[in-house]
Amino acid sequence: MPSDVQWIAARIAEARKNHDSVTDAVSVRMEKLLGDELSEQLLSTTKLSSIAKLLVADMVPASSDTEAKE
Amino acid sequence: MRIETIQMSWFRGAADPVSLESNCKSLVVYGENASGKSCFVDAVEYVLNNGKIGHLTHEYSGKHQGKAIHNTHKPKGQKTELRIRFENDSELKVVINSDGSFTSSGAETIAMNTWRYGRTVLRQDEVAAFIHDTKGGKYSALLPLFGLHQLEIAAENLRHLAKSVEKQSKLTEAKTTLSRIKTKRKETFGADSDGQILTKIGDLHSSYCVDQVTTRDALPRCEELETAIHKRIGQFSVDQKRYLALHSAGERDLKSPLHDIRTASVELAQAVEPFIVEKLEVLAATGEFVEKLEDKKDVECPACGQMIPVETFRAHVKTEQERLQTLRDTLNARKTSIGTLSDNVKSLKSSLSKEDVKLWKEELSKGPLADNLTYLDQINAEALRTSCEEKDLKEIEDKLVPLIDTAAADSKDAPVEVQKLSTDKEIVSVGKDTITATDLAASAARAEVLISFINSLEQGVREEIRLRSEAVIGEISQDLCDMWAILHPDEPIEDVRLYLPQNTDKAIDIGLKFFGVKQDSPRLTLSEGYRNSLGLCIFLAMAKRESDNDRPLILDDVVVSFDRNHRGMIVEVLEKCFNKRQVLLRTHDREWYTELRQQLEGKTWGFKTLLPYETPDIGIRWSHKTTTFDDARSHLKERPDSAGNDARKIMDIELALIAERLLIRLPFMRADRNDTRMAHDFLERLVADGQKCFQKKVGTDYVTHSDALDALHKVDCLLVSWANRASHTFDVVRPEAMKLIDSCEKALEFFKCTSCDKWIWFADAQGSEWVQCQCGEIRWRYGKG
Repeated sequence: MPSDVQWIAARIAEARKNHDSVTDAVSVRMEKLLGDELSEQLLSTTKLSSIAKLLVADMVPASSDTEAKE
Repeated sequence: MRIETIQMSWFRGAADPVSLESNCKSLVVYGENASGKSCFVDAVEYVLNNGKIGHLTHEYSGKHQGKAIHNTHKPKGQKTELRIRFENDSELKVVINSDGSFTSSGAETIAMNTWRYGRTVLRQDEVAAFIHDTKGGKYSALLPLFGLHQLEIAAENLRHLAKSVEKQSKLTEAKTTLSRIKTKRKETFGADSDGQILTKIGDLHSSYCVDQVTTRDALPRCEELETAIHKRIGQFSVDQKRYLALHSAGERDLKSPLHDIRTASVELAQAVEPFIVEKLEVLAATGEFVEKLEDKKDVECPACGQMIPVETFRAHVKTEQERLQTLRDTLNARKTSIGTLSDNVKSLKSSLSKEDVKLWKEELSKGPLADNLTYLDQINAEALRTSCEEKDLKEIEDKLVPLIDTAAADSKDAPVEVQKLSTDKEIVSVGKDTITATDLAASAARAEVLISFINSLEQGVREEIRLRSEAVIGEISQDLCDMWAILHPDEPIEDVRLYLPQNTDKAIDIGLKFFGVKQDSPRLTLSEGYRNSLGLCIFLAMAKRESDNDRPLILDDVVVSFDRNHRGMIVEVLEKCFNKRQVLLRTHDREWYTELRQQLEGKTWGFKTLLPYETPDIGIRWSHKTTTFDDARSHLKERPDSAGNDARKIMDIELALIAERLLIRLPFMRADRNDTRMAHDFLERLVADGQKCFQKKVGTDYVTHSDALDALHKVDCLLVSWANRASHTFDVVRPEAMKLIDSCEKALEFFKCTSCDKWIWFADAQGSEWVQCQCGEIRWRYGKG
């Protein structure tokens, strides 16, 4: 699987339908992760924590996004 | 990759090097019980499973495995070794140390440790293991065949990632803080909306910060207000400052959080103890319980012991989860109240540590509240968050509440401007927290969305696993169905297939139709023999799925519980589905071995027989013959009567199969005696019919094969006299038994051509009337006796 880029993109698009506040940054990062690290081997807690930290930061809308929404 | 030889030295039952040589063909190995057949399987398992042998697990595994791996009579200085040679002439050498560990070398091109044991070897006791395994176990066994390893990893990583996000975003702590702020907001602002709070802040800003119009943002306004109020306090008189500090201290509410904490503690104490007892019982019964859920409509509730429908049990579990949620809510409420208590104690300490109330405290320290002030100085308010027991609550109640009451009483007559400033200060403080909470709430909401998003992705991946599994399962099921149909033609068990149960992840089961009725598990209706048959089909269907790997299949005595009808069809399955794979069959069933020897094509199959085991220092030995007469010979020394009896039994089997092959017509006998004819019955007919039917080639002509008929007649006479004596009166002597065995073996050899080494029924000749060996040296005329 997850080397199947289109499949991953479709999955993420599907999941975003019910989570419209998920940012593009999260989507892009998750797409890369699913095609790469997340599918290769079970990750350590430390590694997962660092990924989680990045995703939490990605969830903060960029100022341009905020402006666009406003 | 085919195996050419498996050689063992002092491994298990082996002594000096003994080799199983297949010449890269498929092979049938016959040996009576304990002759050492399974030692060769152990050798393969040892290599495949990195030095482990399944049936030696537990007490004879790990460092104790050495006890079982080496021959008990291995002489000092001898090495325990395994050598496996492959068709490309590479060889894997394994030297086993005294503790059972090993070092291996050679055969670099063949990663034998990547061959999965479960796809390569099937032993007698493992035949029905798949059927008896749990649905989860079945899933795990099949998973590597699905090629969904990456998806499984992705799903697991996503599951853990969601938890990591929860931890990283400090979601739980954020929720506790928000809950505390909500409580303070309610105390200070009642039901005011955000807008109304901002208006109040704005009004205060207008009042206290007349000259400052720099910002309209709420948070900077609060900060400006705090500065202005602080400045105004600085201008207060000493009395005003004292009133303010005491008023602030008197406003602290410790009673409410103390009450809330106690209420929650009581609720928890009442609920938790019986709950824990129940949960322990449930946990203790979980393993058994899950098993029962798989196949039964009703289960025994582990908590109450009553039989209940599965649906009721699920409702029961849901109720338990709700109870658990209630407990979690109470725990969270207690945590929030402890936070409030901690905050209020901190505020109290702050208020009463000011210089403004120094005189007031000095006065107080001369009276009965002296200890209370000392306690206030010493208490660590922050530490309450991690540990808050009843003795802490009692001390706070006894020591701090009277201080608050005294401060409140002494500030009751505070001037109006002081009371107002105190109230305004509180509004600004809580207002600021409320405004800050908006960001915290937004951050928590983002974390929750992110977690839900990741969970949703995990579900998506699991759904994909399900879809792809179904496709693979469909293919395996088709093979399973086909093999079952070969083994069990025209039987009322049909539509045998694997399926993924609904509403359960990581689970697989086997369904079938029993007399037309759909069954969700073979355990519901199938007999042990049928389950074994099904287990064999599943193993073979899974092995077929890996046919690209071209690895040998090793079947170790897997037909023990098969009756003759079903056992006979296994050859068809193997020839139809595995004609390009090397199959190494082991059996202790002489009759089946004889059948296989006669049915399987010598070009692709070899046959070997093991001699009965004698002593550990002699070890495992091969017979030079492919027949089983060496079993009989092994008894010559000690029990010649047994040797003679064995020879007769071998002849019963061999001649029955020959008679069947040559369509010998035998007189009908009553009841089941047709199925229990003995060697004499067959020999009598073979000799009589053979006068017209058994011919050998002399020059260009065919003549009656009188040598063969003489030999058959002679052996018939010996069987009637000596073999019957061996069976009934046990008075056959060794030379007699030896002659009997040799004569039997020699007589049977006449049915195989000495030139082309093929059986007399190898090919049809001259239409359907004659059968002959491949070169035509010997032939038999059907049905003309």
